[in-house]
Amino acid sequence: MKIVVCLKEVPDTETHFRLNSSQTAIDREGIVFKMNPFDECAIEEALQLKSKQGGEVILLTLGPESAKQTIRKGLAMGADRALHINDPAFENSDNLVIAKALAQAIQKLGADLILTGVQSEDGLNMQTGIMLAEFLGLPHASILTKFELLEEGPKTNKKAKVQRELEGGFLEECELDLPAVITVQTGMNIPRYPTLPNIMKARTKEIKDLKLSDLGLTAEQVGLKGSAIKVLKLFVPEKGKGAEMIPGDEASATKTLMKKLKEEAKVL
Amino acid sequence: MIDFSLSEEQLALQEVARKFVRNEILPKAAHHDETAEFPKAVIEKAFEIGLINACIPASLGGPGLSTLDTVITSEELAAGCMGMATSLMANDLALYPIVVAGTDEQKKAFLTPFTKAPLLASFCLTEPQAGSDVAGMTTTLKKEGNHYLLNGQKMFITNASYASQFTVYATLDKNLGHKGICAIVVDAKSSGVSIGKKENKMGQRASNTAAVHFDHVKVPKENLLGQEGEGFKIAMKTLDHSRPLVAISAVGVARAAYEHALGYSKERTQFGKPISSFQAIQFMLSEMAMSIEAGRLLCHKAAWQLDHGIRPTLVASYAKAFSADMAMKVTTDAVQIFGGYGYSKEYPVEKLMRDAKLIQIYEGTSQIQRLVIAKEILR
Repeated sequence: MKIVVCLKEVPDTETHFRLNSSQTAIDREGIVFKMNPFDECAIEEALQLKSKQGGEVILLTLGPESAKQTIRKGLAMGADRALHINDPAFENSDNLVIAKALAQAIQKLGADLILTGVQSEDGLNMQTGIMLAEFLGLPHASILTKFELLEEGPKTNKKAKVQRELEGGFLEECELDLPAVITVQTGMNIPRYPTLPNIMKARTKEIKDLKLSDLGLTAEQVGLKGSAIKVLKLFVPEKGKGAEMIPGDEASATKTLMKKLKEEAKVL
Repeated sequence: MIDFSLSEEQLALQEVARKFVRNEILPKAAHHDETAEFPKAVIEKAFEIGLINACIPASLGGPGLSTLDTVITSEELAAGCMGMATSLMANDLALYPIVVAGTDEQKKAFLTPFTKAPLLASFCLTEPQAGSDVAGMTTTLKKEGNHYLLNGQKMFITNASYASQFTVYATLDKNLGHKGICAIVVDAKSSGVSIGKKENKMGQRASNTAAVHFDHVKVPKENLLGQEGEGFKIAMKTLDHSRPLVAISAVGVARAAYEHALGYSKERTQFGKPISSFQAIQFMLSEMAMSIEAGRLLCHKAAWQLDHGIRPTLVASYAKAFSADMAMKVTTDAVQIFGGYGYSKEYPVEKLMRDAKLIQIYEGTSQIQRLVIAKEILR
């Protein structure tokens, strides 16, 4: 089974963010980057599938050269090799362009299953996986909490049973034709720790760089020029009114709180 | 050429160790400190990831890490829980003599089992009457045909109650002084081996410490490491290797205390201001940050020397003495910054202070380190 996992590097939310001078992006200087946690679960799911089915787990990333450190973490978890769309032409590309580029790379590979995280922790768009499926002309299931192949074994599987998370705590179970694109929700599994020996071995695994021309795209189709969405401004929202501290002992404070919830907030 | 940057692999190793500490060690540290229960589950998990047995060469199934790599992960483990870190590092202390002095057959026999299962080994040097005075040991080894007969008692042995294998130091003839000492590998299941009562320690309570008795234990002569009388040399070489690792754990403990104190000083208000705005507190925090950095640099240098085949004895002793004493001071000051709360078990800093104390004592006291340093600089 050939499994592709799309992997994105995101800023560690524990770092202190600064905006760039044009206020259209965060300043990369001094920021610690990490693997998108949703993608980490996608890699784990792929590795578990591989251990049952055999085959190959290939990572695919679009990002700057510095994203290699995150790719290597995925390789250290156990992925076999990686493709890195590493071309400055892609700077400022919107999701549609990124999905197109990923699709072009995957088309050449011919994968049986493609996994992405539900969303990236920085952009929160939840679009790339879905667009990717569209470009590839493949069925797609999103926000998965369970994935099970219907016939396990060495031959190519045609169907999977999946569980999706819905609003309001509901779950949906579906049958999905393969090959397909799935987006993985956190909590679907607990991602493994890369073992220390595997961290040391990750450097010997292949990371193949792909340029614009390798994907059959032109400079006009990507970057700001090729994108339909342009970020106008990033800003910190204005601070809301502070929390109100209710004085008094437990009994009287609880009474005041109940009154406020009923009369002022009107939530009870 | 001087380069203080960590490689990408080292950053990745550090990140995994940090994550392991956050998820597996920190949530359980207070429980194991309180109960002194042995953290078997944590050790088994650490084994799966490869956070123990760092000294086993890659050719024998070890992780293939440099000493500096191990120093980097050890700082993280110690920052999580020094007791657990001590138990996790004990294998290296017990197995390193085999790495440096063992034949290929011995390495295969005595190291490979540790790459296959979460087994523990203990380093048995200290005796009730022979601590700093290593040559004063009374455990004896007597050759009898195809085996040696081992008799005596070892004290304060880390992981003794759970070890499957012991690296024991014993003397052929006490009159020979350190020239009579041998290092030998003993199967814990051998007849005549018994484990004493577990020590009820002040700190590092998650680690197991117990006495080991050897009563007419027959040990195959193939288990002797190096030649007869080479034990002292092997022990010293092992300690040269382990000192930067113990020293960096002191840095880890100190760092944990400093981070707690730094955070608390910004939250705690007195006289209408956070206490971090007072110079008295600022000076303590600055002192902590400065000495932690200095300790870390010494440890990294000693590890770098080991990795480059440079005799590390002097710098390793600098690192051990400086970092252990520094950790004691930093953890004590952290309790001071927390004030009355710091003395309470509700807060994490008093544990760090208790844990730090042992680092000034084991694997060569702070005083012995100064003797080693004096001997080196007065050569």
